[in-house]
Amino acid sequence: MNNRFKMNKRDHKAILDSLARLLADTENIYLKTKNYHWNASMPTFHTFNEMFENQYVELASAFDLIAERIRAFGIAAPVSHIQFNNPDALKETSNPPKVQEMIQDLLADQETIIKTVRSVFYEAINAEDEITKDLMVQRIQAHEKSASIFRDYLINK
Amino acid sequence: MNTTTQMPVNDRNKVANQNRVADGLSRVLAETNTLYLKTHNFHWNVTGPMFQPLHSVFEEQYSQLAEAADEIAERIRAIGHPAPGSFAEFQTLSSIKEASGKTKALEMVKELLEGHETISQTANTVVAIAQEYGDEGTADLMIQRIQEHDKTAWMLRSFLEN
Repeated sequence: MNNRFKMNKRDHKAILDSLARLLADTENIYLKTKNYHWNASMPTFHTFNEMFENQYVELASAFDLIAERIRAFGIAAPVSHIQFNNPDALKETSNPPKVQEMIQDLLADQETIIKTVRSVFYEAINAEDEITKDLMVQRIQAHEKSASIFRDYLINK
Repeated sequence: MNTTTQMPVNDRNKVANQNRVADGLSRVLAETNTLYLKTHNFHWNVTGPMFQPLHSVFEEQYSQLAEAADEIAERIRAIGHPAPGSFAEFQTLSSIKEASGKTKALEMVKELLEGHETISQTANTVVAIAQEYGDEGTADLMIQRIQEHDKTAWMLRSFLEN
């Protein structure tokens, strides 16, 4: 029997709400990374350009997996970023800053999203939802990797 | 650019022209990104007997749109302008509206079809602006975009027949 049938309604809703929020945050950080990939200018341009590209490609496949997980519960995934908007969501930037600030900004976003993923992870454990839990472990790994790359860059500065 | 005053007239025109070209490209970028997000959402949320074909057709289409957005943004950077890269800017610049509420499979197809037609038209105006200023690089990119949007529109239209 699938785990989701064992979940009580409260756990079910909590996980879905958190996944929707995570989807929004992932979408935001994806677009910001892409934005910075386009607008970064510096002597080490090439390195960062490629790194940002690797990251946003990974993020795009992540929000696909998250949305598909939401669909697996039989619920429609949020259909526009307006629905994604909430006061705690990651903030976007309209004017691309200098590279140093781009890195700091993305690092802060990565750290925020790691916290969100962790809370979904614990909700999934409580609800005995192994599939969501497994997806969250993968997301933590990916975000921690990106965050550590940014941290290394800032230390070397 | 604050250096315009010291420039010869031709160069000054060039800067003004690039602004117009960059503005046009920014509109195409915003619409491409909005349609990308819409197509991706429809890929997730499509239901009914057409699920499998539409789910995979939408996937192919959103992948193409993501790639196109990258090329358009790089063109904007190549002519020396910052590329818009936030939902807030995209919403202001795009004449394609985001998806809202629950949409039936065939309505999704119709909405996407309209989106592709809209971008095709916007790109067409950018071709004219770019050619007016001899910016063949931008004109060429826009022509490629029109070709792809027209092709996608034709495929979507075929779902609506019979």
